[in-house]
Amino acid sequence: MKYLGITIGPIVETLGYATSPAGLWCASGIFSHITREICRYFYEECQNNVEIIIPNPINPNSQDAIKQFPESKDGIGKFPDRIFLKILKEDNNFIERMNHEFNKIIKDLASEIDDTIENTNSYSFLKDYIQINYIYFNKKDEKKNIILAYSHYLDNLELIKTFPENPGRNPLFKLFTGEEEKGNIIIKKLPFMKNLNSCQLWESNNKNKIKDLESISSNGNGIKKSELKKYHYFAVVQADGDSMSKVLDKIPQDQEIKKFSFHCMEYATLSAKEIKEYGGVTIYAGGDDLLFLAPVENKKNENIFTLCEKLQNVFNDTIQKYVKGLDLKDVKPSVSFGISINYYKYPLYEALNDAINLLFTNAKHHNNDKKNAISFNLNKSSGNRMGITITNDSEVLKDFKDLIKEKVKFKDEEEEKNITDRVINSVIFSIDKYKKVYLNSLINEEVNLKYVFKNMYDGPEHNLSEDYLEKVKNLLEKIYNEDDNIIKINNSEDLNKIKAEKSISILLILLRVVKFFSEKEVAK
Amino acid sequence: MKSYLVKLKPLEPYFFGGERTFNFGVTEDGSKKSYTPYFISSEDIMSQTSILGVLRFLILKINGKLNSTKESTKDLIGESSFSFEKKNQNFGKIYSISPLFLIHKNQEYYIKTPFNHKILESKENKNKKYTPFKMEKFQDNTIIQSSKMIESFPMDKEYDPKEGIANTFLNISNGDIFPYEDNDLLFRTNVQTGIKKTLTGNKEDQNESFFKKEYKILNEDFIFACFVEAEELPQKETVIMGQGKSLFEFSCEEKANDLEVKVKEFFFNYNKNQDEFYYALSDLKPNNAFFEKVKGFYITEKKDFRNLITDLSQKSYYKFINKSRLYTLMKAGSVFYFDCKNGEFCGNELFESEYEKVGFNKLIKVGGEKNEG
Repeated sequence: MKYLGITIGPIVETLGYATSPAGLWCASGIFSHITREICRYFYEECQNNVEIIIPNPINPNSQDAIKQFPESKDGIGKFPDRIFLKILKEDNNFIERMNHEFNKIIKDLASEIDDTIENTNSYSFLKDYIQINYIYFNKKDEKKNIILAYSHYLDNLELIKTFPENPGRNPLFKLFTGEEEKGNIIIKKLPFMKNLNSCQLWESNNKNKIKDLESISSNGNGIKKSELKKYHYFAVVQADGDSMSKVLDKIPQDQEIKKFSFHCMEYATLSAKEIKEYGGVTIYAGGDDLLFLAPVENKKNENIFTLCEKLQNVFNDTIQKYVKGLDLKDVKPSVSFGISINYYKYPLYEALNDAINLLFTNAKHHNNDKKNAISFNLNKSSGNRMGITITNDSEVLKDFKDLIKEKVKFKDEEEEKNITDRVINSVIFSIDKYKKVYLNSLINEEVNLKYVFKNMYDGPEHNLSEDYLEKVKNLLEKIYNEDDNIIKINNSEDLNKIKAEKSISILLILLRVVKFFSEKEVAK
Repeated sequence: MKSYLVKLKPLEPYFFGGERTFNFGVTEDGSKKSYTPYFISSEDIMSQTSILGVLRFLILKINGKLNSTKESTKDLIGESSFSFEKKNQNFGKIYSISPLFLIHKNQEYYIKTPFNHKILESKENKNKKYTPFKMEKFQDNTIIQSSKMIESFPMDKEYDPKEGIANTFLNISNGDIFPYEDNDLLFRTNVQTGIKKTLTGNKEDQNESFFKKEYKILNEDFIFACFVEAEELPQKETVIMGQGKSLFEFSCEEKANDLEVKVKEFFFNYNKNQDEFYYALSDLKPNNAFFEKVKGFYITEKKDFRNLITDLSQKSYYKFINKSRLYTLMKAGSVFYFDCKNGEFCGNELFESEYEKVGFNKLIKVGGEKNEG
């Protein structure tokens, strides 16, 4: 049987040109648009001659004969960068006509961009910039999954990069950063971006204004009106399914792959909804890949960590549920996250790179490659960078999330003040100063940590924070009792330290992050 | 004319600006910049044109001609800076510059690891030594056709997209890859905060004045090096290089250029597969219509490049220095499996050999011995 595999790019590089959420969204949208147009060509014009295996947005259980390839109403880039299709009826000019169609799609896109930015020759740039590669092959082994068996050709083709002769005249750059009167961003004029009603990029109270980093961080209130530090920071999250290849390995039949692809797109659509409800902006949701921007904490007191937990649940309800139905032994897909939290002025491409590194270097190698992890960095504007990588279902992570929500309040005459950050400050100070005491009580079973805390915080003013301190003590104990591989400090140079020392370092990082959620921003 | 081994040792953290510096956003049709970066990073290594610049400066210095006119310096350093737009360029008493490489502990030469290096030996271990991809030629008719008409590819499991392309250096005396261990670092970073003075004095603009620059620090055991053919060069001098105006120690000794010979010797001993390919020892500037002419599988990474052009004929001091237009180069380390007819080298049509003089476009042929004789 003959098949065709197609790869489209360069996505990550193009995302790197964006300096705003709108630019990022547009960059991703362009590639999703190209993939969708290619699929539309095969679906509508080649109809009975080819069968698209992935991406498959059409429910395989649906009885309706769908003539038109589904449109994307929410404007989220949902089409992945690879297409596989089966050739049912061969004809001589097949490849030639396909190449002609690829060229037409690029030309049309170029002319849309020309109209939008008042340029004249986007095509001369795009024809060498956009990389569309294909492999037309005979499937040799019936027992192998086509994606697993033939993807490496597409991986290799991606190495043969081409680029425009005149990189200085980059219409994409102008497109992503262009502005018109009243700060409206040019990309709104792009034809394929128009008519998107529920687009996550628009401000919720003003459908003409596009969210920027300031707006995302402050939940639309503006930086100047936000007293608390957490509203001056935004998160970039890159999430990816784990063990997807293991699943594919067990489903060699094309029909089964189509079902799997459909459930992946289901996961993408539902995740995008959750992100929107939270107040984030989905950049792309393709296959098992997710990329989005979000505030560190939203108006409903939900934070980025609880959002990721929700996305895990969506994953379990879609992809994992489908895989369970296949009854495959030893294959349990999960999802890992790379979360980079940065000051709203920090360059977006740096934040994006940080998130990508956290996911692929840390989370994806976590716990002896068992993955299923979150790796996050809090990059403060002072230059301090702190973060850990931790398994998703760890008790420590759960307690950490609870601690973020926990507040210590103090009634001062009429006003109720939140003094959580001061309490944490004093705990951090005490641990730093009396480290040996805490270390000793962890190592030495006869010295109970409970009494160390009781003695450290024995002043009358400590009554207020008694519950909170109890939680901190429990957290330290849980960290110490947890398996070494479950929690790791990012960029750590103290690999040779003993467990008790590492545990305290981990606690200090978690406390500093928790403190961040209560801190006020110093007036500038 | 003498042959020198030039060494450049950073005396402090350095900053070589790439495209993402403070003018990021000014496109070539002059449209205004709309983005002021808050955080910029230095490139790891300097460009060939930075080295040419330093040599031109030093020659003027040792001849006491630092403030002289263009006419009196023409013979010493040539009329103008390097440009990819010109042919038959002449740099006076500077005859050639080899591609930049690294020297470890004053002994071993390190070059950029070829991009066809297989990074992982197994799931847990990286390959300690250079291990070229095994290539497959399509014997059976698995592949009917591919875009770009490629006929040979790395075999399955050779290239791992999750690892990406090797971004390391290689010791040409024994094939060791560096960095290897997780704790090894060739380039460390050093973030410095600064304040940019605004021209307007407007308070709003001043909020945008803080910035952070990420300088680089070269591992202490290494220094930058290249071979230079010139009439006379100073033995030791302190020079300033880069956007960060960082101090480097320039030193040189007379030595014949043995870089290419050593590199070829290395590949002869270590290219176990004996597949024939061309390795880019330097950055490459492809000719126009390169992508229409090139045949065969290749692996490349691109980089942005601009150089400063000094035009001493300008009367105004501010017009002396301009930036060239933006070019895209192929990084050193790129490899090409040219599908040329009858084993002929078709690289000459693809890369202008004149730029080899300044240390660009240097390709080394590797392997293919089994086809000869």
